[in-house]
Amino acid sequence: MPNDALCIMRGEQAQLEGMMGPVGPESGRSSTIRRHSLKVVLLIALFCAAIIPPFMFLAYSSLHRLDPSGAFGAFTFEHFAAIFRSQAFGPTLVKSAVYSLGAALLALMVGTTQAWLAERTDASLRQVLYAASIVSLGIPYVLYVVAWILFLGKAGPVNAFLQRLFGGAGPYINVHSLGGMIFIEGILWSPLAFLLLSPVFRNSDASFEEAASIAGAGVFATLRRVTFGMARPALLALGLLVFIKAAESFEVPALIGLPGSMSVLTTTIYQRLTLDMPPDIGSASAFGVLLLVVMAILLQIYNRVAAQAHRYQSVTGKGFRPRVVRLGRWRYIAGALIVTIPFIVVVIPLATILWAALLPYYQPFSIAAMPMLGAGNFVQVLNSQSFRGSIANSLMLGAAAATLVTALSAIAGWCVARRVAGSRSLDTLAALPLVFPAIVLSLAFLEIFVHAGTRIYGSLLSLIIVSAVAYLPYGLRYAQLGVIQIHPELEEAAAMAGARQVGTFFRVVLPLLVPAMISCWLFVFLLAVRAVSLLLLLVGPDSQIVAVALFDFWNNGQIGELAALGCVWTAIMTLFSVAFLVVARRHQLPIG
Amino acid sequence: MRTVGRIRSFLLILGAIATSVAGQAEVQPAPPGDNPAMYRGPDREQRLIEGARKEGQVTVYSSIIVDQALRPILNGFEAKYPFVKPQYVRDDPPQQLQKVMAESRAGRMVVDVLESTGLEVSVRAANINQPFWSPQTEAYAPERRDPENYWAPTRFSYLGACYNTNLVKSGEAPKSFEDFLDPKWKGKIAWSSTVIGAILFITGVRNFMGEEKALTYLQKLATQDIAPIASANRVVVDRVMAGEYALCLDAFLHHPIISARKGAPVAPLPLDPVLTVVSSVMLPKAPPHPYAAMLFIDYLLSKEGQERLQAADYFPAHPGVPASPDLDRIVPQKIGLHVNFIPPAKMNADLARSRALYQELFAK
Repeated sequence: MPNDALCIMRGEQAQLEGMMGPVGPESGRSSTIRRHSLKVVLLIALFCAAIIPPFMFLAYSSLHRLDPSGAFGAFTFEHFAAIFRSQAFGPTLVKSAVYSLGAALLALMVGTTQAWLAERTDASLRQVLYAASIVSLGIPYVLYVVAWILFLGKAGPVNAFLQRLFGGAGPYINVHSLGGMIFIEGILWSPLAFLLLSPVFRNSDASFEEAASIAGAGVFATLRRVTFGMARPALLALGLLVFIKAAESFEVPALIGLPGSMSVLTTTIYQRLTLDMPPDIGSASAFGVLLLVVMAILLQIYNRVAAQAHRYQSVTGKGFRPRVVRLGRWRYIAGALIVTIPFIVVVIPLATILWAALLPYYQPFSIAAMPMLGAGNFVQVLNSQSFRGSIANSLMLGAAAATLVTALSAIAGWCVARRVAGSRSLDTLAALPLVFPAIVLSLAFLEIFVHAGTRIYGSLLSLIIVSAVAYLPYGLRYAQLGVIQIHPELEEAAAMAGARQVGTFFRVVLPLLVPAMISCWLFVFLLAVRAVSLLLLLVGPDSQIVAVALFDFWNNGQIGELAALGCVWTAIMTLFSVAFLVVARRHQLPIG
Repeated sequence: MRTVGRIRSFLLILGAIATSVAGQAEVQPAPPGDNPAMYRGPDREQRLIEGARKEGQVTVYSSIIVDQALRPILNGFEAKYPFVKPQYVRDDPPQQLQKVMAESRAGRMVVDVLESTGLEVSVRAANINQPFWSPQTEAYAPERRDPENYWAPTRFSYLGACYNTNLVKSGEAPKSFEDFLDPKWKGKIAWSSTVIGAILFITGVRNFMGEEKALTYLQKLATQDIAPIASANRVVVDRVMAGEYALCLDAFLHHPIISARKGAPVAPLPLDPVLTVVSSVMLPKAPPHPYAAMLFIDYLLSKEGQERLQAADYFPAHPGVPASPDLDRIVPQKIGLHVNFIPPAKMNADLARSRALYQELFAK
């Protein structure tokens, strides 16, 4: 780690030397490139060390038979052949595509609406959107999904209400359907879409919109052709990101899809791992490899679009102020949306969880059940040693993973933003973990850690490493936003004023970078502590974490304790999120 | 430069924290000495205690639900042998198998004692475990033990149906396997889509009906649109309690009783013959703490350890420890039903065919 700090320093120094190139001797120029290259080479080596081994495992196990002993046997293409031969492959593929596309579109629609309302209109209560999105990032995935099952399920309040309204027996809404999967996954990603999109709207130049209205375009035409037109690359990039994440998601397909016999690619992987004894790693890996190919193509498209997004955004240098749209009569509709969206994203799931937490055993919403409400589950959760132990581990896991990701992202982000030679490959490499379905990544790391030795296998450190690898792409995107804002002119000005290079870095660059690093840190922290499928297989006796404990509760049918623990956990995460919001606001970061 | 020093020392501290975190999981090497697994000498207990005292730790992988029974057992063990710190990882059997296989392949066992259901054959085929002898096993019925001592029984499970008492009146509830074919239950039945769920149900049906009749039965059952829940059997019972489904087919029969005690609208439905499986304890070949492992196995199989299972509403395998009284109404011998016992070897031998049937008929 100390090397990394030195790297930053040397890099900055080299950068300054580079800028002063014409003045200094020619040899200074070449040493600059060498120092930059060294830093990039070191980072590439580090990223390779973390990211290449899981790839190797995946490829190897997809091409080898598994002996009864669990060891790899002869080379074979059988795993791939079996997948393509199976009749279910085609329909599963189609369903995967529809599901992922649907979820991406929904997340984008909800996220864009929120971002536009919050950033570009004079609607009241806009702050509610930020608060709701950030609280929702604190709710563990599994619990979020469970809450929606309870709310939309056959016995849930929605179906009960519809039944009372229309009579008849049948459930009117079947949550265990493709539509249910798309709805829940889309809603799940909408806060992230909102938080990543709002800076795009905030930073877009109003002069184009003014030009449009002078030319006679109406409010909606301006909105459609200019505002969203300018945001299109960012929207597309984000849509692809959610598409990739949905395609490799595991919780929603397993918990929502399977009971309705709705299988997507990751469900098949899941089933092969749970229905076979020993678990069929070969088939799962082959599925993983196929998924990787699809994801790699999408990532290429995404990268191309993301690169364009920067071009569309290149207005940050000059002074401007985004135009606020006066809503007038539309205020009421905007107000309704501002109340409705957080209601769906946060209030419904949280209320369902709280209801379940207060009951001795789960039953649907009813007045008759009111007298049974009590704090018994909370008492049990707060008194339990293992719950408390797992909370401490989870916080440590999140904090360490976030620290690691932030440090790496800051350096890598700086290299990418300053277009240091080799930084393109760094960018691509750091984005690779995106293409790993969590369940495949954890399988690969199980194999790697168990070979790495008993010190690391099952330890909290191993969970930290896996989380850091998995969330590096998010951290990097965030850090890049922060670094791009720092103009080299500032560093140059400090140098002109006689500051030494080291002083320039610590007194100019670092203070400017700190806010972005803090928001990146909290962002990764919140993502890391809520992951489940990524870490289920890797937990050991000393590394029990909240998310895994939650999943065990769910499997054990301890819904009351599950919900109570979830409430406590969400409260703790909300505290962190509030800190996130406060820090971000104070430094006027591109979030919140 | 002072700031640089500060940053450097901060990073060094971070590194130190990371190292200490990694150190937590470090296991001490097994003490030198012979393998205590099969030792039968008169000083056996003394030697185990001495060895375990040096080891100071035992790691148990179990599928027993932590809050219900695993923690009480570990606490009881620790109270009796305070010099051995027991720690656990709770997983469902498939994940357990994945973990122990990975450990065994890498030649680095972390697990000392493996307690699970349905893994006996796979674990032995993978050359992971070794035979062991405990004086406690002598009390157990020979036909429920492994003649080669690769596993010893810890608990029984009785599986059957359950129903929501709000949605189904007790007189109308199905009473036999055939009753579940009634079209009025179409779309109202759920089961767990796991090895211990639907697959085991299919194995059970094949075992007592014979292949031909079983196939006919399962084909008819498949038209009932049974909802597969991708979680443990317990979750299926929860869905029935919540009113999502009227019936389930593969409950551990004590689960609905435990929930009904709290007032939940659910009741068990033992179907004749009652599907019965055994869970067992196994000893890995190179456990990091072999003495503590044997000491724990002794405790788990002893009357004292088995009474902890009884108190937690499990069905102890020890013949001298009956199930708790209000669970009697599902123990087949007590209610005059037949036992459809699936021994581990049978369960494993039938797995591939049952899974194929499941995927062909039910996972469309």
